Amino acid sequence: MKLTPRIKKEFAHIVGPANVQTDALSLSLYAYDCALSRTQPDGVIQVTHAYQIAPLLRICSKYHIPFVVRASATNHAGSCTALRGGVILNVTALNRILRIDTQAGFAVVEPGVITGNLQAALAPLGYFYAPDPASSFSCTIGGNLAQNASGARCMKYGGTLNHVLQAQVVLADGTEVSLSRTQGGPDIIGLLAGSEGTLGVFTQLTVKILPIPKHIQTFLVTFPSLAQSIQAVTTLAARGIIPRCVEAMDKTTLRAVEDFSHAGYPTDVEALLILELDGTPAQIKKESLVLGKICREHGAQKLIPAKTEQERLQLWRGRQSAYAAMARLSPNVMVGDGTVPRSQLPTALNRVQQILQHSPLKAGLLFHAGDGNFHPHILFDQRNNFQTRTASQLLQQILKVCVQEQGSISGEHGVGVEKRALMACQYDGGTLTAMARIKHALDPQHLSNPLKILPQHFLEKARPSVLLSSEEDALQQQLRTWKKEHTSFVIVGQNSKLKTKEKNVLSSRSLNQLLEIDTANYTVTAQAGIELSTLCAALKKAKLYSILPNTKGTLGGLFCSGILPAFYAHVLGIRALLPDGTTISYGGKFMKNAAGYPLTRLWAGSQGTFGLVTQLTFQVFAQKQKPVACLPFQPAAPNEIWTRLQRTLQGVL
Amino acid sequence: MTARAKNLTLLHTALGVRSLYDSVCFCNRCGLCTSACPAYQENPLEPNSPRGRNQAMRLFLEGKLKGKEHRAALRALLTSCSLCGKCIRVCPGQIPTPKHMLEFRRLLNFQLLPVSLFYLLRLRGTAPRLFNFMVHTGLWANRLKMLSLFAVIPGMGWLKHTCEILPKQTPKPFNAPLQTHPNFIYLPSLEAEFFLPEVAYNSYFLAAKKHRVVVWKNTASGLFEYLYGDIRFAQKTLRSLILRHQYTGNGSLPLLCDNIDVYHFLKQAPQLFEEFPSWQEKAHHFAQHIVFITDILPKRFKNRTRFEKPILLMPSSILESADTALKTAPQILQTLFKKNFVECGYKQDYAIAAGYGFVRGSHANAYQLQAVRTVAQNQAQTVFVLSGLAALELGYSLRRFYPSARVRHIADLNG
Repeated sequence: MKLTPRIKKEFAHIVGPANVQTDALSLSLYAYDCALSRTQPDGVIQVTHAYQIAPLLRICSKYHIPFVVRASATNHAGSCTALRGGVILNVTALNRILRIDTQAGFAVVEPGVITGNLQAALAPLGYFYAPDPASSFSCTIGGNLAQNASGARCMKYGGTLNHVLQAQVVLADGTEVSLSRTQGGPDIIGLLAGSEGTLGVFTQLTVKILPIPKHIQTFLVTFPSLAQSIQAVTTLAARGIIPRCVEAMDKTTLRAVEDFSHAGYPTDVEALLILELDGTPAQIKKESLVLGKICREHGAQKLIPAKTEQERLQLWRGRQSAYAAMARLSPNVMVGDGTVPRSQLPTALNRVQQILQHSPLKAGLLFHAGDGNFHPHILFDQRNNFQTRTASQLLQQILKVCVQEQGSISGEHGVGVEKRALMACQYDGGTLTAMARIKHALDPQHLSNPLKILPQHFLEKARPSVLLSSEEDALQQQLRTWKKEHTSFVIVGQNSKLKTKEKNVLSSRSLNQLLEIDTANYTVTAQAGIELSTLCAALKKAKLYSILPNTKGTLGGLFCSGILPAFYAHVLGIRALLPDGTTISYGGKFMKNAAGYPLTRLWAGSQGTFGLVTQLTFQVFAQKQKPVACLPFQPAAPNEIWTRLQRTLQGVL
Repeated sequence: MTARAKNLTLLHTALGVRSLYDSVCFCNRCGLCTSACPAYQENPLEPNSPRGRNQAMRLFLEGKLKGKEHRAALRALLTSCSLCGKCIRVCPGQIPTPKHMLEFRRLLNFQLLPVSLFYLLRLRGTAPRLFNFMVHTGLWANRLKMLSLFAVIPGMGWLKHTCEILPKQTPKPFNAPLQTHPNFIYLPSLEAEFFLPEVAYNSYFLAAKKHRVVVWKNTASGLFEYLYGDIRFAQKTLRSLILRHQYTGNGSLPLLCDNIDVYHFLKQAPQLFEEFPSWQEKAHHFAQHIVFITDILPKRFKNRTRFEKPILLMPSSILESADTALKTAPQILQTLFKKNFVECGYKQDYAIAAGYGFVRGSHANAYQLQAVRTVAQNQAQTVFVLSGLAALELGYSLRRFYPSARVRHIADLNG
């Protein structure tokens, strides 16, 4: 829709006439991001202060104008294009760092703050912000959270969603909500991370900052094959060594990088790993010895430690210039972002390499080996239709391989419009319906970044639902009956925390199986009703550790009651039943997932308001974990977002 | 016979010769350039970013954007680019956005300078004697404080512009002794010849220590024509310079420049003759003989103590990104001043200090303040620059906002 003079006047009243742009040049220059898609908006609004966002969204809601929030637009998924027209809210001017508190370990920033600028402000204070996307000098913190970006340090520190403590959010209708990780209830910040601006707009963020490790040791290891290098990383993790970063490159990328950056990488090898350890000198020394031994066991040819800080930077210079090295070879580079469980990485890479070998286009592979996330860089020329089509098809094939290998179509780049169709390959109809309902709950007019993430007509294209166990089936039938009869009910585990005396109680007690302990990926899959004591005993027997306490209660109860928020980040996959009996299956054994809304966070601390969790997959470790104390159980105070989600997911539309 | 193109169609980029359209299309829209662009840092809007500029040019070349319809917006987009080249250094594909912008200006026939100033400055290339006469007329009128009076006379409008290109106080003109059998050529830049004779003297004496130097006074390099005019003007000026070089010492003499921008322009001479095979070889030969001050600076100076510390270098330059002159300058200062030489940090690296690419638009003050901020953050007392024009412009801002620091041309190391 064209912006009428009246609407323009209303926008101008808030941001000033100069900040409302509708000229053809501005519209053309806000029609793209780093992906292929290109759509012109009807207007561009330059937001200069965070307080302008809520009234702007109220106007959009009043006149049904779609809007897309845009910061640096460095994403590779086409998340910033205005598919239905409307206005672009450019928040790059919201680039103020409001507060840095090193004592309490947080920084308060506006969403348009460049990640590199925050790092630069923290470095003199001896602190750093853990997420480090490759584009950190140009991407923004708000954008990172919206895409749930991570980076090389993700294996140790996790993605952006684990580093945001508080957020000020404006919903699509202009409702302002203040969210905090300490306020209890579902992890809404976690849910909004990776929402790509489809659920609301961040106006202020409080992020966690950490002291810079004083001792860091970097190694360059070469291998005769890619599979051996990945196997070495898997063994490393199995022995309980979690490096700060593990980066890998294949031969094609390696040569391109060395030609470009002259970082001193050997070019006569098939694969290369860059590993970085941090901690105390004694710890580093101990881990270095184990690392050397494991690498040699897996056929490592050379293991070169960086002796000085300069050498360390030199090693990283090569890795950081990998994108640059590929970008200069062709007008366009399509960067893929598939994730698979670590144990599947050699198989997946083998299949991907076969696909690439049979393709007419040149491509290189680069990956964060530690978390099974790989980035194929496909070179093509957008002006050539054949090449563009081939590159898109190639990427689709690669991502389908990831899904077939029990992985995800996106680890850190998001879905946007480019991978939207592939969402139906990864998720079943129930899960996609749940995501659509979440969108509908928070944005009923579908104005906020419309037509993103969810594929069109997904129910027809979605993969078949997972097969339920007999116990799950019984519970589903029960839920459907109650739904039919409009009966209210309460969901409990062992009823040890809620202690309800309601008549209709749905308990997960029957779901008490430990389904799998995967020592290759270091994950455990268990039914939600399993007792914690049983689970801890099984883990002890397998010589594995987790942060779960050996107390009374069930796994699902602990996860949903919100008494152990530290556990949320360890949960990788979930299977649940919505109050109307719809089955949800999200995540798996892979470490990163930026495809769709992070549903694990929806049930985390939800206190049974969104249905019953039937199965959880979570991370375990080979090294002893510090015990985390549980918080006392108390019913959390509802906020606007929780209430809306509850109403929609319970089927009250 | 078709008319010669008014703009370059083939560009010499860091990754080989590419057509203008190809070069623009190599922009992958990754946005890394936004972190480096001073215009975007000042006002983070897409038209102020190198990515936005490239996309606008691509749309124009594809015929999707009409120059006539969006003249004002395109003018703002073009003037926001100060041609500093910082974007090239961070760009993964090393896309020469400043060069694209120069060609874009030519394609749109934008005149970014006042017309009479443009023609006055062009006279340096076409009629150097007339230019000299006019500048000195302006100088005298200024001395008699009658400049504004003369300038209102119809046809004498150029007079007021002579004041713009002249310093407030009249400097001693640069005069060098004549040399027989020279083995070195010194080409003083406009500012060294008229505003900053000390730069010209220092450059001359640095060269004269070891060589018999001939000075090509009042000789245009073609850079001005390349930046502000039709490419044919630049080709013409450069052709006469190449021929003059060829006839002096059989074209084997090194040609010294005191301005980094002029140096880079002359080094790129072959680019201007890409479509003229007969001139290609001559231009290559000529470019090989271009030297910059840093190439002749001795490694040790007795009087280095007279510079107040800490020392900062602002190697702002247009046209070229990774050149030896930009690398050797910090090395020299590092050797001379050791710990007292401050390296610019993230984002301040190669902070802009203005130069030939500088278009006095609404962004001018903002860029200058960015440079001043960098100096203040590093608490530098002496700032070295590689161009006389940058020294003048940055010096003016520093005197106003951070008077404790002084700007020096790198040739001033000679004393």
